[in-house]
Amino acid sequence: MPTYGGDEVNALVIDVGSTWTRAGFAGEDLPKAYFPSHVGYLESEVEVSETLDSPKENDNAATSSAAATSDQDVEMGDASADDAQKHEEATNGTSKKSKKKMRQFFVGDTESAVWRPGMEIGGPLERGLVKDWDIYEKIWEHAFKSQLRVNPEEHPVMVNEAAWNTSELRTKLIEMAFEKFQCPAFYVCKNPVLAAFGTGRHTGLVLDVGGDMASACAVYEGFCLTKTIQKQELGGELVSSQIMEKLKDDYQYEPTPLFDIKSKAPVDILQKPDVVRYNREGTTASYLQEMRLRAMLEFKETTCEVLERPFNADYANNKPLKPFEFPDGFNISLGAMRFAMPEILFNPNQFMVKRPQRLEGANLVGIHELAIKSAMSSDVDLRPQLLNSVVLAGGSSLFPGLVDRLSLTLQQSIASSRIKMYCPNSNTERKVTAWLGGSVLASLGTFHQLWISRAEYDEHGASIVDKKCQ
Amino acid sequence: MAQKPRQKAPGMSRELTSLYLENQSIPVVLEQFQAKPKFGTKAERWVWRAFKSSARDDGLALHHWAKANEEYTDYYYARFNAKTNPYQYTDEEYEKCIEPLDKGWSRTETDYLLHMCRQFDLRFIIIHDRYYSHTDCPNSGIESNRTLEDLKDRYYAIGRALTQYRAGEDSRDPEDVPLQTTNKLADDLALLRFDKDKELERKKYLEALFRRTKEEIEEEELLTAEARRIEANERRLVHEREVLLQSHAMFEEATGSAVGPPIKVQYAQTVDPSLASPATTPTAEATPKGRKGAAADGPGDPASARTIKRQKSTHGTPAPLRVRAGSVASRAQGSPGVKVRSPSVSDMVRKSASPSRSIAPSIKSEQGNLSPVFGDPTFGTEIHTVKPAVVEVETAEVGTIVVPQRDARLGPGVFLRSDKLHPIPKNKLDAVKQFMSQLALNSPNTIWPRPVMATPAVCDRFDSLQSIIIPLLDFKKTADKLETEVQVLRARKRMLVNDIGEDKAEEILNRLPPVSTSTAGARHQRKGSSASSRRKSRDSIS
Repeated sequence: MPTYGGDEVNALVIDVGSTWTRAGFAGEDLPKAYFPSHVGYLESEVEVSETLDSPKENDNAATSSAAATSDQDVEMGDASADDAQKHEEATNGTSKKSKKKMRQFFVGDTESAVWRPGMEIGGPLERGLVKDWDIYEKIWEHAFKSQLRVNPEEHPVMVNEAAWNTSELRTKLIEMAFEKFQCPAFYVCKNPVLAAFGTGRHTGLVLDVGGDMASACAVYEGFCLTKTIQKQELGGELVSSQIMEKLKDDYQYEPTPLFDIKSKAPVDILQKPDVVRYNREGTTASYLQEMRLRAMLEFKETTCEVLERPFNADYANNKPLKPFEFPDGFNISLGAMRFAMPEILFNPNQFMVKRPQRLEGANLVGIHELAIKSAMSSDVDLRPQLLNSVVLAGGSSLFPGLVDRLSLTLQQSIASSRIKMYCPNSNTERKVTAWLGGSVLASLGTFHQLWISRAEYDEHGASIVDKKCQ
Repeated sequence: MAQKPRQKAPGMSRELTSLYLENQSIPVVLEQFQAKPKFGTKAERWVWRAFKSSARDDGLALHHWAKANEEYTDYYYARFNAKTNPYQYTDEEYEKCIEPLDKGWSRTETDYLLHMCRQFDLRFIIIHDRYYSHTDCPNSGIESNRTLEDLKDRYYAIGRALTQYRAGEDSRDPEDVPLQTTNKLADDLALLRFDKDKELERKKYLEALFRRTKEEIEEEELLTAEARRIEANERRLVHEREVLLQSHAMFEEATGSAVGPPIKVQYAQTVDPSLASPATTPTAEATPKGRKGAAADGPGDPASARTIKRQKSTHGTPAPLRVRAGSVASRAQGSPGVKVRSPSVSDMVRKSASPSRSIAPSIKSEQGNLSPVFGDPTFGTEIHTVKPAVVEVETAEVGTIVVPQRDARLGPGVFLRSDKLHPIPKNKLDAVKQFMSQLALNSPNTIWPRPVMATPAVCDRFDSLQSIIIPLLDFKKTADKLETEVQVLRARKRMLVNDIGEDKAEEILNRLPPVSTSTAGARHQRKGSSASSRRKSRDSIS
C-alpha cells in the first residue's frame, strides 16, 4: 500500500466548467464522463400554495432529493419543480401564493442537443460562479447517476471551484453535497490549485483559458494566492461568437445549424448555401445560439491557429490556406482570418470584431497580460519561482501554437526571469487538467485526513467549508 | 531407458562425469505449456475494508482495499500528519515580555497572527495573502495594511522575547549557568534574527532588478563581458611582459661576456662546422675531447672561416652557403618534406632567438662529451657574482629596500627558501636533472633539483644556473634539429650531384641566381649572427 503514496478510497471527482463537465473516479487518468455543461430545459408554470417553514425545509429537501434520485431528466417533473421552487423561496423569501416556474431538464450531449419546441439552453455558471443551482444540481445528478452509475452516498466527492468563489456559494455547495446527495465526505478545491497538481507541481502561475473566463492566479505550495487573481470574460465562447460576427461582416453569412437543415446541395466556394430549412416553430433564441456556437466550435477547432510570433497580416497570409465547409454547405478557404480570430485572446481590443453588450466598456487585456499582472502582484521573492512554472490549463488554450506564442510574449515582457511553460503534452489531458489534479489529490493517502466528513458537517454546519478548504 | 545409474566418480561433478562417459543420452527438457501460470506464493486475499486515521478527530471511516491478513493499528499515512508548533504564550508571558515589544500590535491581533501561523504552517506568503480575508479574522483590533515583513518581524520578535524570557526565568546566577545553556540560547536567538529594514531594502533592490527591461539587461551583460575582456587582456599583457623580461634577463646573463656559470657550453661563437664545411661530418664533431680537440674542431677549419670572412666583408651573408641552400630549395620544389621543413626551422630559430639580440647560438656537442669553451679562457674558473632579479619594496622606516625577486612572492605561512627558486617547466625537468647530475650537483630532493644548503648566495647561483640550463637545453634541441636537417639536405645534394655529374652540378650552381626564399632568409640570419659572434671570438683570441 505505501508504495506510491496513493490510497484509493473510490472518491468521485467532478469538475463543472462553463462549457464542459468532467466527472470520474479519483485515481484514474481521464474522466469517465465528459459532457457539455449547457443543459436544455422546458419551462412551465405551476400553481403553488403555501411556503413551508424553514426548519422543516431541510427534511423536505432531503426527502425530495431522495425521490429525485429514482430516475433522471424525463420523469423528474415534480421533484425538480419542487426543488426549484424551494430554492427560489430560500433566496427571495417572498410570496405566499403565486405562479411558480417549473423546469424540466435535459442534460447530456444526446439530450440537450435534441430540438424540442420551446426548449431553452442554459449553463450553470456565470463568470465562473454558480448562477443556476438547479442546473448545477442536475449536472451532478446526470454525472453520478447516468454517466458514472454510482450512488453518491457511498463515495467521497471532490469538487472544484473558481478561485474567486464566494463564501455563500461554497456554503451552498457543501449543503447540496451533504443534504441532496448525502455524500459521506466532501472536499472543494480551487481550480488553479488542481490545475497545478494536474501538471505535477505545487507552486506555479496558473493561466486558465476556459470557455467563459480567462484567469491567472499564483499557487504557492498548494494554496491559491487570492491577491494575485486576475480574471476577465475572455474565453473560447467569445472567440466563437466573434468568428460568427466576422463571417456576418465579411461574407454576409450566418450559419444554419444542423438541426434546421432538411436538405442541402453543394455550392461553389463563398456562394450562398443552397439549403432547405425546416423552419421549426418554437425554436428559442438560446437554443439557436447554442447550436450555432457548436458549428463555430467545429470551425474553430479544425482551422484556427495562433501565430508563433506577434500577429502580422502579411506573415499570416503566407501560411497555407485551410478549407472549411459549414453544415449548410457554405464553404470557405481561410487564410489570415484563421490566425486573426484567436488573436483576440492576445489583443482583444484590436481584433474583436464587435464587442458584445456585456463587455461594453470593459477593460480587456491579452491573456499574457493577465499572467504578468498576476505574477507582478505576488511577492518579489516568489516571482522567479512562479515564472519558472507557468501552468497552462483550459480548453481554449488548445489552439495550435498558443503555448509557443505565450512563452515568447511572456519572455519579451519579463526579461529578468526565465519563463518555463508547463502543460500536459496530450490535448486530451489538457482539456481535463483541473480534473486530473482532483483525481491525483483525492487518491493520495495523505489527503484523506482533509475530507470534510458528514460528522463534521453536522457538528459545525456549512461554515466548516471555509475552515477546512482554504 | 532402463540403465542403472552409473557409478559416480569420486571428486567429480555429475556433469563432468557425463561428459567423458560414453553412451550417455542427452536430457531433453520439453517446455510444458501451462494454461495457468503457477506462482510460488498463494494468492493473497484483499478485502474492501473501512479504515480510520488518527489524523482525523471525527472518526470518518473511509474504505479502501487492504490485504485481509494484515492488521494496521493506525492508518499508514497518519504518520505524515506533521504540524509546526509556533510559539504559545501564557497571559503572564504576554504581559511581561510581549506587550512591551511593539505598541502597534494588540493582543487580539497577536493571537490571530499565531493562529494563522499554526493554520498555514508558517508559510508567511499565504498568511499575508489571507490575513484580512480569512474567516477567523477578528472584526476589530487589527491594524490595516500589514506587510509581509510586518508579520514576519512580529513573529520573530515574539520568538526572541519568549526565548529570552524563558531562559532568564530560571533565576540562576549567570555564573552558574553552564556554558552549554548560554550557547544554546545564543544559537536560538541567532535563528530568530530578523531585520525588517534590511529585508525591505533587499526586496527593494530585488524589485529594481526584476523590473529591468530587456535593453538594460543586454547592456549590462555587454558591459560585464567587456570588463571581463579588459581584465583578461590586462592579465595577458602583464604575463607576456613578464615572460619577455625574464627571457631578456636570461639572455643578458647567459650571453654577457663575464656573466655566466661555469658550464662548458659553446654558444654560437663559432660557425657551425656542419654548415660551414661540407667535409666535416657530424660524427667527426662529436669525437673531440678536451681543449685540443676543440681547437682543431671549432673554427679550426681555416678555409671555411676565410670564406665566411670574405663573404661578410661584402654582404654579410655567406654566398656559397646561400647558393647551396637555395639550390636545394629550388630543386626540392616537388618534395614537400623539405619544403615544409625549411620554414619550420627558420621559425624555430626565430622563436628561440631573443628579440633583443639575434644571436642564434648552437650547441655543438652531445651531453656526453662537452666540448671545452673556446672563447673566454678564464670562463670556467672565475667565480662570478650573480645579480638576481630584484624588486624594490618601499617601507616606512628604511625607505626602499631591495629584495630578491623570488622572496617578493610571499605565500602564507612558513616556507623554505629553496621553495622559492624559479620552477623548472615540467617538460624540461628530467633533462635539467640529468644535466645537473652531470655537473655533479647532487640534489637532496629527487623531484625538483634543489641546493643542499640553501643560503641566499647559493640560491642566487642555483637560480642563475637553472636560468642558463633551460635555454641551453632549448638551443640544443633546436641545434639538433637543424643539424639533422642539414644532414638530410647534404645527403640529397650528394645524390643529385652523383646523378648529374660533378661538372654539370658546378655549372648549374654557378648559373643559379641568388635565392631569397624564407629558408635562405633564415639561414641568412643565422649565418649573419654566427659570423658576428665569430668575430667576437676571434677578437678574444687575439
